[in-house]
Amino acid sequence: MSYLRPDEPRDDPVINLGGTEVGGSGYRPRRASPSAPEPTALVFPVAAVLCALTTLLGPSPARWVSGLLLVSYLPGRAIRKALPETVNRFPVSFAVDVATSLVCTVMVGLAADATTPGIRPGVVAPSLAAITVLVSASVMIFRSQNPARRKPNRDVKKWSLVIPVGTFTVMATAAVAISVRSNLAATERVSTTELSVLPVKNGHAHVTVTNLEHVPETYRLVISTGLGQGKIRTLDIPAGASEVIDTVTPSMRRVTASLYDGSATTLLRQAWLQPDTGSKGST
Amino acid sequence: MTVDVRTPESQTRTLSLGSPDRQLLVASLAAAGAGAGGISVAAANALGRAGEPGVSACYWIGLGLLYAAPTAGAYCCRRSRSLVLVLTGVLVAGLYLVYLSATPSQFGTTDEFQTLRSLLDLQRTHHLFGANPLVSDYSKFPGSQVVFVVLHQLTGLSLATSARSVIFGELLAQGFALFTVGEILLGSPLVAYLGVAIYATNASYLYFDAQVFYESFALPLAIVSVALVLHAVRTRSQLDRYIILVLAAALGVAVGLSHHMVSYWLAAVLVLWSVVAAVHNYRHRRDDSAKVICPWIPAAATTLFAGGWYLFVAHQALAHELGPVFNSAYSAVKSVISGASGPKAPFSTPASIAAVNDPPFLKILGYLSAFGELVLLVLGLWQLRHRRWRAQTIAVFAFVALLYPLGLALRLTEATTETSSRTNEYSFVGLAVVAGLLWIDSLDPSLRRHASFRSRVTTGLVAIGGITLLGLGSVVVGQAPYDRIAGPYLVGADIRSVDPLGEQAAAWTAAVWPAGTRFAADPTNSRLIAALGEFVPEDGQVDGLSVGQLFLSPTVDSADLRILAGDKIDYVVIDQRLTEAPSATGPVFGSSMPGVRVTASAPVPAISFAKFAASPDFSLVYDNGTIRIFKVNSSLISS
Repeated sequence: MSYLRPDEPRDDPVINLGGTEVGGSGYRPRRASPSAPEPTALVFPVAAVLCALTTLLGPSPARWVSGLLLVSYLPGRAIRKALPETVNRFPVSFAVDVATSLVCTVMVGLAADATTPGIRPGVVAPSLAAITVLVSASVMIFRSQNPARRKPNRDVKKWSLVIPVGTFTVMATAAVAISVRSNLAATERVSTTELSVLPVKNGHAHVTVTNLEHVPETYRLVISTGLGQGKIRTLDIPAGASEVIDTVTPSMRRVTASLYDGSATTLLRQAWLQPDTGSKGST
Repeated sequence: MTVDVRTPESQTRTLSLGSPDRQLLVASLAAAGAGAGGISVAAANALGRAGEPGVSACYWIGLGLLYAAPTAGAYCCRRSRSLVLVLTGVLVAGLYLVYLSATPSQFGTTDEFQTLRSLLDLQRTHHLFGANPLVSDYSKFPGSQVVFVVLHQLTGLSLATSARSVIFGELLAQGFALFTVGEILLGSPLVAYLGVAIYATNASYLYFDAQVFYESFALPLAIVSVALVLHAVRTRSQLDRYIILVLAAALGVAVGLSHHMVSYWLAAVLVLWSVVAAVHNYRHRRDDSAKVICPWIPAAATTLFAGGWYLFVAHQALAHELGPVFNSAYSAVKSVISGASGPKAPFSTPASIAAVNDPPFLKILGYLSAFGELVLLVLGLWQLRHRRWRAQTIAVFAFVALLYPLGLALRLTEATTETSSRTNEYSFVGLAVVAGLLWIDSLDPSLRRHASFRSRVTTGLVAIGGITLLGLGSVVVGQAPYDRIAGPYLVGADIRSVDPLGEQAAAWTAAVWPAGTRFAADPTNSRLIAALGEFVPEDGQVDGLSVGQLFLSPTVDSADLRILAGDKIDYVVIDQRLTEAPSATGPVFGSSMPGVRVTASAPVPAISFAKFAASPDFSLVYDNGTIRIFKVNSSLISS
């Protein structure tokens, strides 16, 4: 097979896989050219230290970005840059950066697991930052004449890629927002049944039943004031709705509301109110 | 063998859409189309949650746009590598929105809740390898858990959001790695894009591989490792090549720490690659110039590590977890081959309820998708005859692709259906390359400079239509109808069975029950409760009696008492909804017990749950109107 030979010229090859020429504008290993060290060499180790500090001490929004960079990008990027130029010619280096960073995190986690404190932010964040700094420093010290990666010839200007990426990002964010919002609404709406007895003026109290189930429910409500048998009511309450029952509260008598399911066999909730003392409770 | 170094003039082709500005415009429109697809799918899920109509239309239109728009953009901008690469990212990110829209802010699937237990254990103890009573081998492959929990600790984001961020980054990396494989092997960005798109039409891609668990974490690492090996064998410098291979080996080791089957697949691919290269080198032993690079470093590292990890760490857990799966798969396949039982009808589901079954036209789409992928495989393999097996690397990918028909055959039994879905995520790595080969030989010539406008349009329609058809059909094949889109509660329906009522009950148990509490519940509430607290769900058998029998007997009988005492069950959890509707995935507690017969289309008999309230052996300790928790009398357990 042609392209597996170690001694063949590798620049701008067009691969022939047995008759059909399949080369094109795609993969072309680039020849390294000597140049000065990259001016951005310091950026990444400094960023790693800042990210580690932010994840340990910083406020929430900054921690989100810092943590993501520290776990899934910076160590891998530093390692890739420390490896020979050929590695950096991997066509889509982002994949190597992410994968290598995750490998670093796994290994650091395993090492931390062997220690007494275990896997904690105070152990892992400095370790990941240390890997990034040490690897970047070794590049600066030992490879001061490191040939910089030659930028590939881009068919469109690099900045212009922001337009499709930005367009998609905005619309994808809207999609996520729609999903999260509808999910939150569903979660808040669907909860459980609530029952309360609250005092109002002139010796009256309000018994409130709220159906927080996801479907309409039928309830049996028994309101007892200790005078004879309690009143039994059947309530059909739509999903998410409430029903308020006004009741008279005789003095020195406790009002107890018991809520049963539609067949009156299972007690769902119980709430009570002692009007003269104002004490109330529920189960 | 031919190596042709082309002149700059010969490399120059007319751009398909003229100036870079026009291409940029088209790519932006394609990205907007994919974004609109994402919004449409999100709207479908929002409508589903609200119980509004129009869910299916929004979903399928959105999904179609997610596949078609980036493909159309990549086809039109095929001469611009940067734009095709951007559209590859758009395709991957857009398709991830489908899963994210269904469960945007919390864990939802069975696998995710099983993983959550390990993540919470790691958070509590700060140490790995704690036993997971839901899936025993999770604790033995802790690679993904480390990353998910570390990111959660460092960012302060929820565990679900942290883990999804990791999976999203990995899916992007996986897409770009596949793009690299296609580009290195076949030389064209468009073909590389199509390879990624073909991979994204595998039945596991949209949902199974997007969820948070150890397999979806390990697979992208394995594919990046394969791409690195491919890059290494093309590298001239021996030292550089070794370094890249060592990097690939490190990824292989991380895969071995993260998931068993993925590591075995990676080891098998790399060993196969090494063997093919070694055989080739042996045949050309007198011609040094014809020799090829053998990726023995990552092959040996991955194989030795995966084998060693199995022998010294994970063999018991794997035997416990995978043994029954393989045994039942073997029995089912043997029974079908011997004619003892007939094959499973495709798209058949245990319960005959509307939400569980697809309409006929979608089933046809599923058949077309599976048939189309088989055609791609056969025609792609047919192209290999031109190469006379000289293209060893492509031959390795062709071998990988051959897993696809094998996986398809496994769909013929109920026991192997899940295994069949899982094989797709491996076989499609090969199918992507084989299909690319077919494109190069058959359709790429129609894109040459001299080709007519009509032939270019036809080729474009074939590409866009084909990818969209395969993508939509793969969803029908790979994901049950009730699990695609969010919606009201359904019994026994994975994501759709997890709702706030269940979560509320699980949160109560986490706050009240002491660690180590044993309980019995239906599968959904079992995994919810066991995921959130340090509790042990009891299932399986006691003295030959299924624990499920506890929930089916009409009265509390001696068999129930034996189960309770034998498993030392402290609490029994019942969900009244199980008595109101049949389970989407078949009888929740098994189909029968002595005296009780539950058919697939029937709910649990109400009397079976009512017995707990009536019995003096149980006391009600929690009731949210739907889920009730009974404490078993301690005297009963001790007796």
